[in-house]
Amino acid sequence: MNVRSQMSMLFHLDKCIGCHTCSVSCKNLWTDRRGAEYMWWNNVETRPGTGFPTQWEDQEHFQGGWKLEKGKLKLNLNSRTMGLLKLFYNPSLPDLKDYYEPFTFRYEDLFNAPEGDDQPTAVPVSKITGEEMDIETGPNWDDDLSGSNIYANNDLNLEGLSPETKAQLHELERLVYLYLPRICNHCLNPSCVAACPSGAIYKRGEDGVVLVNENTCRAWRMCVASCPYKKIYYNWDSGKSEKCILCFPRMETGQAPACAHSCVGRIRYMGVLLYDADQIPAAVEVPDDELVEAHLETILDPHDPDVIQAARENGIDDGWIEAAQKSPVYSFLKEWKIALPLHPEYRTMAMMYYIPPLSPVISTIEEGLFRLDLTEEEHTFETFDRLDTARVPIKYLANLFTAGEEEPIRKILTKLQAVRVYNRRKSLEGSVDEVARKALQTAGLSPEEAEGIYQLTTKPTIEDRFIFPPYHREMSIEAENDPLKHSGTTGLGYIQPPKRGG
Amino acid sequence: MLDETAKSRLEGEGKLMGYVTPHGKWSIHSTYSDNEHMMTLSRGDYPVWINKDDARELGIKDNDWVELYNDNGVFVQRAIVSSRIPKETVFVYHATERTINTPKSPLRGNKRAGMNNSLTRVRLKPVLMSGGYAQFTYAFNYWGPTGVNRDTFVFVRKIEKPDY
Repeated sequence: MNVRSQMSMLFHLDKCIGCHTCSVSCKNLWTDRRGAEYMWWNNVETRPGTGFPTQWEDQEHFQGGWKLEKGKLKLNLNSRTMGLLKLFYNPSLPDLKDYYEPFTFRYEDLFNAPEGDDQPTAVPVSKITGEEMDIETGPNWDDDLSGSNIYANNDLNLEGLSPETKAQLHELERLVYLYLPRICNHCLNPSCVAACPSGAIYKRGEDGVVLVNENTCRAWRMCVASCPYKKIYYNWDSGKSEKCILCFPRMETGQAPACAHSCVGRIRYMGVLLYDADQIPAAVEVPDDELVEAHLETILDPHDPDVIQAARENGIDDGWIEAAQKSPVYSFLKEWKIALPLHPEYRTMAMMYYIPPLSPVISTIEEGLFRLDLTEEEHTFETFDRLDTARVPIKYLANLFTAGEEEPIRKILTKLQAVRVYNRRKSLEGSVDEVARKALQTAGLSPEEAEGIYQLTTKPTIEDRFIFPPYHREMSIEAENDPLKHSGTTGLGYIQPPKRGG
Repeated sequence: MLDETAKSRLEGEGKLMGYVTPHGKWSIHSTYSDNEHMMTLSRGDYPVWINKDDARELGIKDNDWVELYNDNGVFVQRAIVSSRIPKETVFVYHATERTINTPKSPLRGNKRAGMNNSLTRVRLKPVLMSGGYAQFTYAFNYWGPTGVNRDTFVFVRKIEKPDY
């Protein structure tokens, strides 16, 4: 057992309202500068939709992630030899069309326009060339679209849905959309790291944050193509690749990353996960239908004395072990088993997790008409039998979170519904009655677990949502340098004195 | 008296549709929604949402330019085609500014088109103006009933790229 620690984020999709506050706070903090205009380290996609960059899940084109070839793990992008031969030719690299041409407006025209008989207006101009431009696409172009012949229909996750279900996604009162916030997944088996010819990308020891060493980066951009989530971007101004850094300077000082901290819906949870690095090689080489299970298997129980012992032997601080024991991510992921990684079939072992959303109001069908109100018969609200007609198709969620396996999604949605029933009965009947007990039994939850899920879902304070360990930067800096020289700073992955004065 | 399409009916070949202007997704309280990041996260303008069947009928594709007009005014913007919009209705998020990305209207002498409220008109409810409603009595610019300027009827037509 080789115990390591990872800072992980969990997204409770039922709570996401699609306000994009996370995207804007991330943008303001990190990427509002030349060369980074088009980067959205955090973005929120409306699904079904094509996402950002457009159709990033199309790995036949973008060649991201890993594949199994004769039972062996291979980079989708290239082999080592081919990587060397094709160093200057990389057709799977996304270009500006796949992202968008960043734009602004010529605001000065509002003041400087020549006198005329019409009011001036600020026209859109490109942020790259400065020329006037037609805005044809953007980083959130299909926002709230839901049914759309161009965007929603080209969502690759609709694969395997029946024609009726696909048609339903265009029908007023039956269509549905959900928001999918995305940051870098800080994977356990990152394909960006593997693809970098310069060895510039590394996974930080203490918290597993994947970082680009900008001093070593030589702009080969293999990482951009190889990241299946398209979360590494190339800065055309500095000539270096950049990515989400999980706001580590904030985490090192005990603050949540900007996206998580500013989240209006409070959908984001953060905590430490302990995992067994020895299990990773086996976990990424199992068949598709065992991927999620093998992935979750590598996450260790932080209360297990053996795990604690092994963690200490690996130099993991007691503060980190304690944080792992309190981690809300661990509770959702392992204790209650209602969270999943995004696209496990990329085999990168994404370490950001999602709780799949319950559907909006479940409509009943009467004489060919959809009723949105629920009739007051027994069991109508207890809708386990209606999971297959849920407005968010189970197969769609399965394509997103479980490599197409419907059973794990079904189990999770049943649990979430059981919690709903449990709370409804409790407030209606004043106690946990037979119906609630039966619902919990079907879902395999105890009343304590249901209560736990309910509390952490609906009522968590900021202290419940974010459990940060003490980072002890002073110790890791001390190993290499005089800590006094670094007072007041946090580690950027490499040492560079600040430029001050003229 | 309520007909806002009598004169404009004679002007062009647009389709008569319902028009609603709900509260903007991107406008929180009184903050400006027209800053660069918010415009980037929407579509860089204040598009007209239209049902996919109406769009097909009018030959409109997603992001095509459309012109909305009635007796009150004219609004020129791009279209968003979505299944979420009921048939024969278009909507534009309300309270935009004319300062950004507002083209000229080919129908109305190539003058700068208006914003979404150019098409609507505030109407006062006569019974409220008569006074005697609790402590309220109508007085110009002092107290009046809230405006009902959020919906009306408009003609919708597809246009080529307009001038700025």
